[in-house]
Parts: sequence; C-alpha cells; structure tokens
Amino acid sequence: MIKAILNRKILTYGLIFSLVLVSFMIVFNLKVLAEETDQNLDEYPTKHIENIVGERDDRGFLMKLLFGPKTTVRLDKPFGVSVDDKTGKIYVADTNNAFVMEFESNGSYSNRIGEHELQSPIGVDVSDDRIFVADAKAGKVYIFNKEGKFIKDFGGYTTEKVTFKRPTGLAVDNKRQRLYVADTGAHNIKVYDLDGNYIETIGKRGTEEGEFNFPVNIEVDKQGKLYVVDTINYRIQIFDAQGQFIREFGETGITLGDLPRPKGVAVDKQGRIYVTDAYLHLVQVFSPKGTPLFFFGRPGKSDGRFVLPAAIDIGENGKIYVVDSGNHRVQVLKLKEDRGSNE
Amino acid sequence: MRKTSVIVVSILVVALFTMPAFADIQNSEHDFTASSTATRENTGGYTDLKDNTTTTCSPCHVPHNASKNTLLFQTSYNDAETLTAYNTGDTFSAETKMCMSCHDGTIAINTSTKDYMTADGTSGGTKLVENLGTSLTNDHPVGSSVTLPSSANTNFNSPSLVDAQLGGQVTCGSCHDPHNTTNGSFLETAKDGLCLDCHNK
Ligand code: HEC
Ligand code: HEC
Ligand code: HEC
Ligand code: HEC
Repeated sequence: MIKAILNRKILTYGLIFSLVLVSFMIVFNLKVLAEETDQNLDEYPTKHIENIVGERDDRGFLMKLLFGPKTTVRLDKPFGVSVDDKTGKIYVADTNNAFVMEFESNGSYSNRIGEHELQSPIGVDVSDDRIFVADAKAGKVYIFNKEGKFIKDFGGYTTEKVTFKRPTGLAVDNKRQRLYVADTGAHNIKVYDLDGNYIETIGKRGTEEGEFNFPVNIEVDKQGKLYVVDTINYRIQIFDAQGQFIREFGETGITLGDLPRPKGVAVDKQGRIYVTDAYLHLVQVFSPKGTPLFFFGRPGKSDGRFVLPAAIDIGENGKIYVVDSGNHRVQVLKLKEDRGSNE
Repeated sequence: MRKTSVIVVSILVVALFTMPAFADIQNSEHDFTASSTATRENTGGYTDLKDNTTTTCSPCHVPHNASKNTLLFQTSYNDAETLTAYNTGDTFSAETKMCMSCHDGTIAINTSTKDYMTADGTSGGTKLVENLGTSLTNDHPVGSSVTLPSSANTNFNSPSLVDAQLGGQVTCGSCHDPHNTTNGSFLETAKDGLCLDCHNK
C-alpha cells in the first residue's frame, strides 16, 4: 500500500520534473535551430533552362501564335527520366500515363513509346539502339527500339516463377552490354544482358555493405561503376563493374550530406554524384569519394525548386534533368559557371 | 488505461522533441531506436520496414541531429510556398508530402484497386485513392483548404472522430493514422463512420 503510494508520488514528481526539463530543452532547441538555419547554406546557383510539363499539341505556326501551344497530356506522377546523348532526346516515365513520353532536346513533345504495352512505367534508360522501361505495376521490363517499336518484355507477376517483386529504377551499361534493374520489393539488383537474359543478382535485404533496404534507383558511369540509391538505408552504395562493393555514403537526418529519402542518382563528367531527396526536396552533390560538396534547390514550386524530386539524369552537354514529381514537370537545369571542378 | 497511454505518449513526445539536445552528448540515432521500438510497435503494413536492424520510426520521424558539425537544412516542414494541388491555390501539408515520399510507386503503392464508397456511404462511387498522389482530380482531395464546416459549404459536419484540419486542410492524416492498425488500412476510425464524420450527405 505505502509502496504503491510512494511509487505514485515518485511517478508524479518524476513526470513534473521531466516536463520542466523538457520545456527547457524545447526552448533551447528552437533557439539552436533558429541560429543554425539562419546561416548561409552552401547552395550552388543553377541556371534554369526549361520545364517539361507534358505533351503539347504542336499545331501550325499560326495557330500557336494565336492561341499558344496547348498541353494535351500533362505529366502527372512522373518518376523516371533518361536523356539519349546520341539524339538529345529525353524520355520520361510517368506512373499515371500508360506510355513513356519522348521529347526533343528543346523540350517539345515528339512521341509516345509503348502505348499498347505499358501499364504504369516508372524507370527508363537507353542503350545505343534500345529503350528499356521498368513497369512496377506489370512487374516487367520492356524493350523497345528507338522508333518506339516493341521488341520484347520479361518478368511479370502472373508467371510461375516470379522474376521481380517490384522493378523500379534501371540503368544500362552500353559498353559492357549490361542492364541493371533495381527490384525495390525484393531488395536487390538484378543484372541482365541487353536482350534481357538473366546474368546475376547483386545483394539481398539488410543494412551491411552490399545489402539493400528498398533500393529505388541506379546509375552506371563510364567505368561501369554502379551507383545504387538504397533508400531506406538512407545511403548511396557504389560497386565496381564486377559488382564488388566499393563504398557507401549518407545517413538519415536533415543536415547537409544526409539522405533521409534519396530517390535518384546521376554522375557528371567529373565523377561528381548528384542525389535527389524527396524528404528535403533538393539535390545534393557529392565528390566521387562521397564528401558533400554543395546542393541546389529548395522546397517550392518556382523554377529551380522542387517538390518530391525523383529520378535525375545528366547529359554530355552538362544539362541536368530532374523529375520534379510534385510539381508535375521535369526541370532542365545547368550549374552556373563551374566551381570546384578540381575537388 | 487512458492515463498510462497518456503518460506513454508524453514520454514518447518528450523523446522525439529532445533528441537534438541529447544528440550533443549521446549517440542520438541509437537512442531514438531504443526508446521508440521498446514502447511502440508498429504491427501493420510496416513489418517490412522494421526487418533487420532498420528502425520502425526513423523513416517518418527523421532525426534532427544537431550534434554533427554541419548545417541544418531548413526542413521541408517550413515550406512557405504554396503548391498547386487539387484546386488551384491549395497546399499540401508536410505530412502529405512525407507520405508521398514513399507512396510514389517505388517503396509503396501509389495506386489502389480497392472498392470505394460515395460520400453518403453507398458503394460504387469515386475511386477514393485509386491514384494516390499529387493530381487528385480522380481521388479524394487532400491539400484542400476547405474549412469544415463553413457557412459557404453546408455539405459538411463538424468532424468529431477524425483530425479534420491538420493545419487547416485535409491531409492523408485526416483519414489515416499511421500508427493505428485497429481499423485496417491505418484508418483513424472505422470505415463506416469515416466519411460521414465530415460529409453530411
Ligand atoms: C508511416 C509514417 C510513420 C511511422 C512509421 C511512425 N510515425 Fe509517428 N507520426 C507520424 C505522423 C505523420 C505523425 C503526426 C500525426 C499527427 O500530427 O497527428 C506522427 C506522430 C507521432 C507522435 C506524436 C503523437 C501522436 O500519436 O500523434 C508520436 C509520439 C509518434 N508519432 C511516435 C512514433 C513511434 C514511436 C514510431 C515507431 C514505432 C512511429 N511514430 C512511427 C508518422 C509515422
Ligand atoms: C518509409 C516509407 C513509407 C512512408 C513514409 C509511408 N508509408 Fe505507407 N506504406 C509503406 C509500405 C512499404 C507499405 C506496404 C504496402 C506496399 O508494399 O505498398 C505501406 C502501406 C500503407 C497503407 C496500406 C496498409 C494496409 O493495411 O494495406 C496505408 C493506408 C498507408 N501506407 C498510409 C500511409 C500514410 C497515411 C502515410 C503518411 C503518414 C504513409 N503511409 C507513409 C511505406 C511508407
Ligand atoms: C478522405 C479520406 C482519405 C484520405 C484523405 C486519404 N485516404 Fe487513404 N484510404 C482511405 C480509405 C477509406 C482507405 C481504405 C479503402 C478500403 O479499404 O476500401 C484508404 C486506403 C489507403 C491505402 C491502401 C490502398 C490499398 O489498395 O490497399 C493507401 C496506401 C492509402 N490509403 C494512402 C493514402 C495517402 C498516401 C493519402 C494522402 C495522399 C491518403 N491515403 C489520403 C481514406 C483516405
Ligand atoms: C476530414 C474530413 C473528410 C473526411 C473524413 C472525408 N471527406 Fe470527402 N471531402 C472533404 C473535403 C474538405 C472535400 C472537398 C470539398 C470541396 O473541395 O468542395 C471532400 C470532397 C469529397 C468528394 C468530392 C470530390 C470531388 O471530386 O469533388 C467526395 C466524392 C468525397 N469527399 C468522398 C468521401 C468519402 C467516400 C469519404 C470516406 C472514405 C470522405 N469523403 C471522407 C472532407 C472529408
């Protein structure tokens, strides 16, 4: 009885004490936060080139002059983007449109790919002569030629042997004739040749080096190095062309260099690694070693800002293509006069 | 029962809010893990997320770790700019964006094939969350700034079961509570009372 009362008292006092403590801490933290966020962040200026927002009905010159170009199909929930350095064409996968949209390098709409095959495309990449599309809803990877003609598909949820659990991002290594597919649902990366013949699987679920927790996107650089967005491990993992782990960087948090919700990755000519983040709504750039260099963008809807950025690609010409899914567009940007190229 | 849950919740809130402070002295991420998983297990659709050593809570409750000698971003939660959502001029709440950061078709579904109801509770109406996402023209509006009830809009009750207006708008969290698994689909309240809590027809 006495014990119970005593316990209660201790509990009450304990609670009051902790509440007082907490109020102090909250005040203290708010102050710290205010001070820290007031400082100049290491934001890098970008030049906004254009927004790709959807298919336009490209009528005659006079009609356009009179009424302006009309957008017929808007990007709704775009996720994947890939630029073809040979032709300059831009391919966009929107999960709400059952086809991949093809745009000319100037952003004007040119073609629909896979209108009769795709259900909900999410990842897209190109080789010398082919277009590869991952469809998470169908559980398949589709292969088209550059004219948009269907060649073949593989995977699917209905077949006896389940190939993919949820294929999302994919990347082509043209030189080594390899196709990498991130299977987000199975927590691994599956490797195929460019005809869709299975070669091997990299990794399994886990938090160790070479293991994944919801990998959603991948990129291959010139040396065949593989960059994997390992989203719920809050990091990027890098592998060599043989699939051997090289390094990792990133953790959760909201300081520069953290990756609370990484979604897309791309590598520029200098080997710098660009990572989009759908929690911070910006793009961070890291050195090849994984050191944070700078970032660009903030949350918002004006040009150069992002809401839920997804995949990213960088052209040979230095143009950066960022899927800005919450703003229903792909932003085309360029870094202003390049600084720190020797980092 | 109620009391203990209040205490548990306040302790959790305390834990959440004091992280940056403790981070200066301790390894905050481990702390966060330990204090959270010990008390509140998420048994719904998140079994997947807590496999292995990944914590259940940190995907949504991103730790604000101030101990690192780097600068904090202004989080997306301070987003001042408005975004065009269901209707022009509407805004998405930070919470909605947080949900969408996984429910984009990669980590989790952004489309659903379930059966839906009309606002009066009869079946066969609008596909409620067929296309979870940013363009909600064919779904239930989120980010709508409609205040409930308003003199201009007599179609609404004053809601008592759901959090109708987190920050003055309908969010994913108006109908869902990501910690509550008792009603299925992480719903705030049982499905049959949910719609009529806000709608009166
Ligand atoms: C799917 C995302 C998600 C996960 C996972 C999650 N939370 Fe939350 N949590 C939220 C959101 C969103 C809110 C804000 C809800 C509101 O404002 O009503 C919240 C609020 C809270 C609160 C404030 C009080 C309350 O209940 O509204 C506490 C405490 C909390 N979460 C604890 C936890 C713990 C502990 C875990 C891990 C076991 C966890 N949460 C996992 C999304 C999540
Ligand atoms: C960290 C990633 C993540 C975040 C953030 C997240 N979810 Fe989910 N959610 C999942 C996963 C994974 C599933 C399992 C279903 C799947 O595989 O698609 C799921 C399932 C669900 C389901 C279906 C559950 C069922 O019983 O079928 C609902 C409803 C849901 N989430 C609502 C929300 C809401 C509301 C929020 C924002 C507060 C949110 N989610 C944020 C990952 C997430
Ligand atoms: C107006 C209320 C309402 C709002 C707002 C709402 N939902 Fe739901 N959601 C529901 C209901 C009701 C269900 C259950 C449908 C069923 O079980 O038939 C559901 C189901 C879901 C499911 C599971 C679907 C499936 O096929 O299993 C997910 C995932 C989900 N909601 C996520 C979200 C997200 C993310 C948001 C914010 C963008 C959101 N919801 C906003 C009412 C709502
Ligand atoms: C949190 C309060 C709330 C809840 C709960 C709620 N609604 Fe709504 N609903 C709204 C608001 C606000 C609007 C927007 C009205 C407007 O914009 O004029 C709306 C609009 C709608 C519309 C019209 C959409 C359109 O395209 O015009 C339908 C249909 C609807 N709700 C169905 C439902 C169903 C079904 C449920 C139960 C699963 C539900 N609502 C639960 C607040 C709610």
